[in-house]
Amino acid sequence: MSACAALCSRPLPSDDELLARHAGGDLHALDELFRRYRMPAYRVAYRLLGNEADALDAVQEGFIKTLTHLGSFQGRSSFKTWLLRVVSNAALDLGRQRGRREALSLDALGGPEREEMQPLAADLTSQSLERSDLRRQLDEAFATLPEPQRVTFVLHADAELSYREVADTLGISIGTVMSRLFYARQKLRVYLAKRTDL
Amino acid sequence: MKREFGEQSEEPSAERLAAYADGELDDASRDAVECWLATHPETAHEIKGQRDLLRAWQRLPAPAPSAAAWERVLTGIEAGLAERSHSRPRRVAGLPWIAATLAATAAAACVLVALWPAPAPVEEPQPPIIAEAPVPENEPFAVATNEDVAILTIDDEDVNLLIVGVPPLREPIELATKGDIIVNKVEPSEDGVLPKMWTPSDLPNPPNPKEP
Repeated sequence: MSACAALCSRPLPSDDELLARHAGGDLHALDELFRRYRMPAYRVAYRLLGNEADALDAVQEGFIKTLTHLGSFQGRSSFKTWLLRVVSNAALDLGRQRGRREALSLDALGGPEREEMQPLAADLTSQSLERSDLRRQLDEAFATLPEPQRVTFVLHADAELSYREVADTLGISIGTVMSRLFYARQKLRVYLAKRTDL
Repeated sequence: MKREFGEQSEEPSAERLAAYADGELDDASRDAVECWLATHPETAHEIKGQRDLLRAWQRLPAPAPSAAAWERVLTGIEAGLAERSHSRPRRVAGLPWIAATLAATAAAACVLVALWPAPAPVEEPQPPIIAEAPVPENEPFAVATNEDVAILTIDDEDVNLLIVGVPPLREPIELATKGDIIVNKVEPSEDGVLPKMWTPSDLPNPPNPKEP
C-alpha cells in the first residue's frame, strides 16, 4: 500500500481525540475542530442574526466558550450539539444587544421595497421568484416566530441536526422539538400565504 | 374508546406529522401516517407544503464567509482562549520588580510636579493646578507592592516586555524631595509630554555664583 493510500484510508480523529489533543496544546487539533463545525455553527448564527459579521462574532464566541468550559459538557452530549447550543445562545445574546428584532422587523426591511416584492408562488421551489426576494420573504416570516421556535427551526433546517440532536442541544424532549418544528413551519406557511394571496 | 395511532380513523398528531415530513418516523409509523394521508388530501397538502418550505429554506443558504474571514475567526478563537486561560487571577513571579518600576516612575513624576515652574503671570492669574496639588515633603509615597498587584491578562506580544526577576532594590525606596535636587533649567519637550531638565552636572559650564 502506498503512503498516500495509507494516509487516505486513515480514519478521521474523533472529536474526543481532537479535544484531548487540544487540551495538550496541539494547535492543529483546534484547527481541525474549527473546520469540522464552523459551517453548521455559522449557518445557525447567520439565521438568528441576519448578517455575516455578527454571525462570525457569535461563532468565535461560541467556540471560545465551549472550549473554555469543556468540563461542563463532557459525558453529557456531543461536542457538536454542545457547540451549537453555545453558539445559538451567543447569537441570541448578540441579537438582543444589537437590536436584532428591529433589524429583522418589517420596518427595517423597508416599506417601499416590500410593496415591490414579487408575490410568493404557490410552489416555493418555483424558479419564477428571484432568490433574493424569496430569501427576504422567508426571513420576514422567520422573524415573526417566537425565539424557541426560531432556534429549534434553524438547528434542524440549517445545522441539519436530527430531532434527537436538536433535543440534546436545547435540553428539551423530542416531542417538544417535533411540536416546535410543526408549528414553526405552519406559521411560516400561513405568513407567506397571507402575503401572497394563497 | 381511544384508538391506537395507525388505525384508520385515528388522526396523527401534529408532532407526528412533522416527524413524518422530516423522515424521522420508523417504518411502521410512517406506513400508518401514509395510510391516513391517503384519505385526507388536505393534510397531505399541508405536509407537502411543509416539505417545500424546508427545501426552499435550505436552497437559499447563508452566504459563505471568505477564507480570510474564517482565518480571522480562528485567530480570534486562539487569542480568546489564550486570554481566558490567563484570566484567572494569579501571581506572576517578579512582581516586586514591577512594583519597583512603578515606584520609580511615580517618584520621577512627583519630582517633576514639585519642580515644574509656575506659568508667567497674566492679567488674571490663575493658580496653576499642579502648584495647588499637595506635594508631600516627607510623606511615604504609596505605591503598589507585589501583594497588591496581580496580572490578569497580558497579550502574547507583550510577554517579552514583562521583566521578571529579582528586584534590583531590596530596601524601601526613598523618594527625593525638592531640597535634594537642583535643576538649572527646564524647557518644554518637543513632544510636549515630559519637560527637559538640566541639573548642574548636565551643563558644560555651570554658573559660578561667586563670579561677579
